[in-house]
Amino acid sequence: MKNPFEYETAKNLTVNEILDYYEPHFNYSRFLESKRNIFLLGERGSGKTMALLYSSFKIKYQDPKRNKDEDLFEKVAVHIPCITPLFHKREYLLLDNDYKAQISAEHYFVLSIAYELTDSLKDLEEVKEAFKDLDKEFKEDFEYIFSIELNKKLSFLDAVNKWVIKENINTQIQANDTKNDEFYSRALTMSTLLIPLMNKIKKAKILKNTHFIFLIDDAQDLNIHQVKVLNSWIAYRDHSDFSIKVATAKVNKPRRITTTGGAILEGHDFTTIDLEKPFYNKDSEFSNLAKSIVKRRLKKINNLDCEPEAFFPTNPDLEKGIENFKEVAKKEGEKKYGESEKKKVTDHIYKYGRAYYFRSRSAKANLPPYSGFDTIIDVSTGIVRNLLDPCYYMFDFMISSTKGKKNISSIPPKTQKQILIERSDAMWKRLQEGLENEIETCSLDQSKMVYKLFDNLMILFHSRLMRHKSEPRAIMFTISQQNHERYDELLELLKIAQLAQVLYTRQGNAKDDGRKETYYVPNRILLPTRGLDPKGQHARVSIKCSDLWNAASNNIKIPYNDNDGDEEDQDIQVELFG
Amino acid sequence: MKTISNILFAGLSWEERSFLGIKEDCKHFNQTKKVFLFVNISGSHDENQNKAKIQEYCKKKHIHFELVELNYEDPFFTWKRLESLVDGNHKSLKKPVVDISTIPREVIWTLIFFLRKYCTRVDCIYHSPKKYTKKWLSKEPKSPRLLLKHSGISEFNKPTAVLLITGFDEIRTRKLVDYYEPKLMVLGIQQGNQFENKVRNSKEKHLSAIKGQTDLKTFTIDAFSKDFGLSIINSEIKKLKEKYNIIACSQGPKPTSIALYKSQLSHSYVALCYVPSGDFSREYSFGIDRSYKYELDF
Repeated sequence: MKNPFEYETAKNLTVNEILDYYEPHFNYSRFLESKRNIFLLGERGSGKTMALLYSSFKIKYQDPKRNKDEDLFEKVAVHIPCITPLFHKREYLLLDNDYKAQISAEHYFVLSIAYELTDSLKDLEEVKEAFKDLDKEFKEDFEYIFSIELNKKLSFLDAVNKWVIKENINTQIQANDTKNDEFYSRALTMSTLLIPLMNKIKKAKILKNTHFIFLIDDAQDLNIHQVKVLNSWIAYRDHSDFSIKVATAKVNKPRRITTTGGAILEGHDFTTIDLEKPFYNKDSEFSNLAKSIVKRRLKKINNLDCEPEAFFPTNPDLEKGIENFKEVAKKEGEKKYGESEKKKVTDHIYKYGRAYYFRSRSAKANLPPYSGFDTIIDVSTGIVRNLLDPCYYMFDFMISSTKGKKNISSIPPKTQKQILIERSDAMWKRLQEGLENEIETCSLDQSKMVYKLFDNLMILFHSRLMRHKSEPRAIMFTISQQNHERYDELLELLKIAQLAQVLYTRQGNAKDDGRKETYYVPNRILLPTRGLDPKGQHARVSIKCSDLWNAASNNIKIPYNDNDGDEEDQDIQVELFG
Repeated sequence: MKTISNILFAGLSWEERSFLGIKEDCKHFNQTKKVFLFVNISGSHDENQNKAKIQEYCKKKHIHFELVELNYEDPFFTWKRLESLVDGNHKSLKKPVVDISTIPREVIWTLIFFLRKYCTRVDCIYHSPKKYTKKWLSKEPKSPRLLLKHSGISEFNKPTAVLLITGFDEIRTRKLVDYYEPKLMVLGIQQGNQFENKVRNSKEKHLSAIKGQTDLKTFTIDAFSKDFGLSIINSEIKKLKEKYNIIACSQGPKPTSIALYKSQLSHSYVALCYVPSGDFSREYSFGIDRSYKYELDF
C-alpha cells in the first residue's frame, strides 16, 4: 500500500504527480506569471519548488483543467533546478581569475535554460507547424553564428536542443580533462545564445507575443559567481521578453551583487514574495491549503473520499475537555463584561478556554491526547513538509500494524498521539544530540546554547500557559534591547535554529510605530513533548536580548511575571496572517 | 614477500596506527627512500608524539622524511600543494605507495589524480586498527563537495542518484540526502560484524535517518575483499547509468574509497563526492591489525 503522505522533493515528481498533488494558489500563480522579476522566499518544505513547477510550461500544457480560452503561449516558463550535480561543480576554482569563473558559471546556466526552453516547445505539433517555414533559415543562421553544424533532419528547436545537450557534455569533459585547466573558449552567455534564441522563437506566429519566464529553483546553494550572473540578468533594463523568478530559502539567501560589482534593488529590479502563509485559525489560508493537500492525496493515491478531519479524528476526551473549559471561560467572560459584550466575551473564550483545559490537567497526568487534523496543522507551523511528516509516520504505523492487509480509512487518535509525541521527541533529540552535527556553521558551544535557549523558552511558555493573566498561549516572541552587546551573537544562535528548522521567522507590524518587526516562531512540533498547547494565539512575548542570552549561555530562566503585558492586549497583525 | 618502492605518502595523525602503519610500510617496501608525511594545518588534535616517532624512525632507517602541510578544510589549497609536490618529485616517482589509513579520502583521490600523470601504478595500503572507540568516531559533517576534475557528467533532465558506501555515522548519510535531494539513494553496506559493524552500520539505522525523503535501494559490499569492493560498485553503477546522474561517495571502510576511485576512472560520468567531518574523536582507534594492499593500475 502506498503511503499518500510521502514528501519526496517536488523536483523528483512526475508531471502527473505534480498535477495530482499541487494545490494551486492564486496569489502566487499571479506573481509567478507576471513579467516582474521575483524572489520567492520560503523555508525548506514550504512548497517553493511545487509552485514553480506548477507554473512551468511543461506542466501547464498537460494540465487538463487549464482554461482552454487562455493563450497558452503568452507565457512560456521553464524550470531550472539548481540542486543538480551540474550546479555543484567546482572546477571554476581552478580558473585563474574571477571573470573566467563567471563566464563558466553563465555558460552552464545558459545551456540549462536553452535546453529547458527548447525541450518545452520542440515536440508540440502547433509549434512544429509554426516553425515549418522557418526551420531551414534559422538553422543556417545558428550554424553560421556559432560555427556549428546542426542536425539536418531535425527541426530548428530540436536541433538546437540536441546541440545544447552535446555542448553541455563537451564542456564537462573539457572541465574534467586531467591535462587541461583551460577556460572553455566557446562559452555561451545570455547575450550570445539566449537572447538570439528567444528572438528566433518569437518569429513564429503563435509565439510572437510570448514572454519567457526563467524559474530558478533553490538559489540558496549557488556559488558566488552563479549568484552574480543571475543578479546581472535580473538587473537587465529591458524585461519585456523575459523575466526571472528565483526561489530561495530565507536563511542564506543569495547576495545581491552583480558581475559588475553593482547591486540589485528591491522594488527597482525585483519584488520579494514570502511563501509563508497565515495559519492561525481554523479557516486561515494555510489551514485551507492543508485540508486541500491532504484531501487530494487521500483521493488520488488511496482512492479515499474523506474529509481530513474524519481521517484524523480528534480524541473525544480532548474535544469534550476543551469545549467544557470554553464554556467555563464563556461564563467567566459574561460575568466580567456582561452578556451583551459579545466580542469581549468571545475574546475571553479565545484567550482562556484552551488554557484552562491545560491548567486543569494534573502535573502527574500523561501528556494530553494530542490528536485531530487541526492539531496536525498547528504542529506544522505553516510548513507543508512539516504537515506531511507526522501524517507519513502515522500512515506508516498503520501499514505496519495491519501488515498492509487492510484498507486504512482513518488514523485512531491513540496512534496520532503516539506519533505526534514521537516526532516531538525526535526534534528534541536533535537539539540535545547537538545541531553541530547538522549545521556547518554551528560550533559545539553554540549547539549547547541553542538547546538551552529552547529549553528555557519552553519553560517560559509553560509558565505562561499555567499562570499568565493576559496571553497564556503566546508561543512566539520578539527581541527587545537590540543594541545589547550580545545581540549579534544571539542572532547567530537564532540563525542556526532557523537552518535546523526548529525556528521560523515572520515579518509583522510592530505595535508602537508601524515599522516592520521580526517575529520568531519556534517549530510547534517541539510543544507536545513539553505538554504545551500547539494552537498558540495571536500574541507574542517581547523578551529582552539579555534574558535570551542568559538563558542560552548560563541556563538562567527567562524572567516571567504573571501580569506581563496585562495592561492591554498585545494582539498583533502579522503580515500575511489570517 | 617484500616489494620495492621508493616513495611513501602517508598522513600524520594522532591515531596509533599513524606511526605503526608507516613502520609496517617501510618494512614491507624495502627500498623506501622518502616518506612524505601530510600534516593538516587545520587539525585540532595533538600529533607531535607520532611526528617525533616517525621522524626518529626514518632517521634510524636513513629514510628521507618530509612534512607536507595541507589544509584539509581548503581543497583548493590542498590541490595546488599536491600538484606542486608531485610535479616537483616526478623524477623519483617509481612505484609510489600511498598509505591511505589516516589520509582523508579527498586528499587520497587528489594525490592519486596527480600521481596518474607520471605513474602507471600506485600501491595503496590500508592498516585496519585493532579496535575503534565505542563512542562516536566523527561528527559535525560539513556540506558535501564534488571532487575537482572528477565531477562527472551531469545530463539535463536526469534525476540524481547517490551511491553511498555507508559508515558508522548515519547523520552523514542524511547530510547527502539533505544536500543533493536525490531521487534515489543506493546504500552499499559493509558485510560482517567486525568493529560491531552490524549494529553501528546497520541498514535500519541509515534507512530510518532518511525515511520518506527519497527512493531507497541497498546492496552489500566487502571492503576487505581482494578488489576492495570494486566489482559490486561497478555493477551497481551500471544499473544506474541510463536513468540517473550519479554521485558516488564513500564513508565506510577506507578501502572502498580506492575501489570507488578506480571505478570512476572507467565511469567518468560519475561524480566523486566527499563529506568532510568537523570533528574526530581523540580516541578514534587503537593499535594496528591486518593490512590490506591494492595495486591501482591506470
